[in-house]
Amino acid sequence: MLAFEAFASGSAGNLYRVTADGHPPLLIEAGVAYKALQRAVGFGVTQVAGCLVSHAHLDHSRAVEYLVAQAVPVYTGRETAEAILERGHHNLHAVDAGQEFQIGPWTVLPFDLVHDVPCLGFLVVSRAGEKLLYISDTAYCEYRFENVAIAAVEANYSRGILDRLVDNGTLNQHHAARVIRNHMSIEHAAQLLQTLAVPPLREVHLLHLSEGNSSAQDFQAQIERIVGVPVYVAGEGVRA
Amino acid sequence: MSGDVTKSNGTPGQALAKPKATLSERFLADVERQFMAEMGRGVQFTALEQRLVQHMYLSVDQALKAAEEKRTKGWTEEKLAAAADDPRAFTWHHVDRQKLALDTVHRVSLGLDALIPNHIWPIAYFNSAKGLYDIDLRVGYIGRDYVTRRFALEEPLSIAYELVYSTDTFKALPRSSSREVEGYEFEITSPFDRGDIVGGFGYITYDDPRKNRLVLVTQRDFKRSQAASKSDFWAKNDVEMHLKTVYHRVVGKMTLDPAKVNVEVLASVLEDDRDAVDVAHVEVEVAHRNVANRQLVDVQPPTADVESAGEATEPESLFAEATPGF
Repeated sequence: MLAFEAFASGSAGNLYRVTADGHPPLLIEAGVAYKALQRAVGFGVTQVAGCLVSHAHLDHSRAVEYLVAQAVPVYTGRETAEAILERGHHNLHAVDAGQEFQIGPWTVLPFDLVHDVPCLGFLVVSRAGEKLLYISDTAYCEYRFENVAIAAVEANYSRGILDRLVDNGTLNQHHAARVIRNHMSIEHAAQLLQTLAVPPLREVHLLHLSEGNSSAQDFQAQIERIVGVPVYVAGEGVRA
Repeated sequence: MSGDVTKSNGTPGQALAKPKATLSERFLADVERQFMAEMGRGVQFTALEQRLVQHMYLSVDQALKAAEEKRTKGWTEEKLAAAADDPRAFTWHHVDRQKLALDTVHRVSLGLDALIPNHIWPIAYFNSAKGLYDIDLRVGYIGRDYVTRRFALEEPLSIAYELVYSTDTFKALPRSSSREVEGYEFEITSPFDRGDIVGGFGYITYDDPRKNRLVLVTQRDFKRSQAASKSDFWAKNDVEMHLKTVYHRVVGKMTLDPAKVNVEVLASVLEDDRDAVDVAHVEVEVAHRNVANRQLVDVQPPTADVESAGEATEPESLFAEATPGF
């Protein structure tokens, strides 16, 4: 059965693992120190089928050069690959939005997201046909999806909380504007998840919550009311 | 032959090509057009305003070049050759010039000079909805001080801004029944090793000393500013960031005179931070309403045959010589 685990989520670093019966695991993001990554995946790094990286920011790509050196294939957008390792590497693979590809038994469809650097989301399908949707670091997503079993979606901030922090001077306004343009609010995440809230959806993971501009408990309750399936909030050290 | 023009080399009958406007001239024209739209037709720039516009151009140009240099640092010559065509390149062609012209008009009309340190900070942000860079002409703390003094309801004689360190002695002397003028006592007891910053204050003096005002800045104010800013910026510019907080807190206490300045413009310049958030909300909301969650994309798992035959698209390997160090 398809499963999703969050080892680290947020601006300090992101690392997720997707597993399914009889499949070598797939990592999503490598935004932690390599040693932390090794600890998280139980020192079985070389056993993974590969790693998908959404974009070049360090909180998503910090360990890429170590992974490729350990013969772990990493898949990311062309510009991201160049930004991470300018000279390239034979284990670093450039993929294009809209072009599906295989990593062993996994089928992956990357698609474009809206961030201040080129950024991809991923629709991951197991051999049994179960689908996982991964979306993070985007203001919104242009696409809609069907028959998703697990949705892992960014819910970075709440508009109400963010506005209040700006109004009382706690949050730098220009920083707030950048957050709005580059990250998904709980309100937009809710609208996206509403389109997925039919079987076979069986769990939702909320990712990349901002430390100051979000409320994990409220977000979880709000989304659970909409999707009617268990909702997990990913965080550092959390194995949802 | 009336109407004929001759090229400088004397070849008759060929029209003299109109020289292409430089980027600087085009910027000035943009701003003039915006200036007339704002102020009414027939209004001309004064010589000072024209100079301030030129200074703004130079400052933005420098900021773009610095940002592009940072973006392309370490790139190969081949990659550099194609860098200018990249839509994310920090060039004038990728700047929202209309927004920049409007913001420049507002700042120039207040007398802000982009070449004076800490008057204006041009910062480029890529606006994904427009596909262009927005240049934020952020007003620095010296610029805020200048504008607030100039357009204050009552122009102060002077404003003192000070940081207080752990070895200094400071005593606030508020107005009371026995003290008509608000004041303070401040002594630096160890000038070359003053210890840690513990607070700050500003003292605004007026013709009528009874109006003098002491503004205290506490550690809580510093912490709030630090929390709202990039922490590494504070780490690298500790004293300046503390002093900047003092400036912000002190000038924020002064009342502006609507008769001296278009208060709406002033608010848009000094408080445009709030606008930046609203604009970002609106942009994202509009884009979200128009395009979000619309286009269906899907993918099916491969059949066993396809999987074993390896027929699925293979991603391109970015092969290069082995990464050094591995």
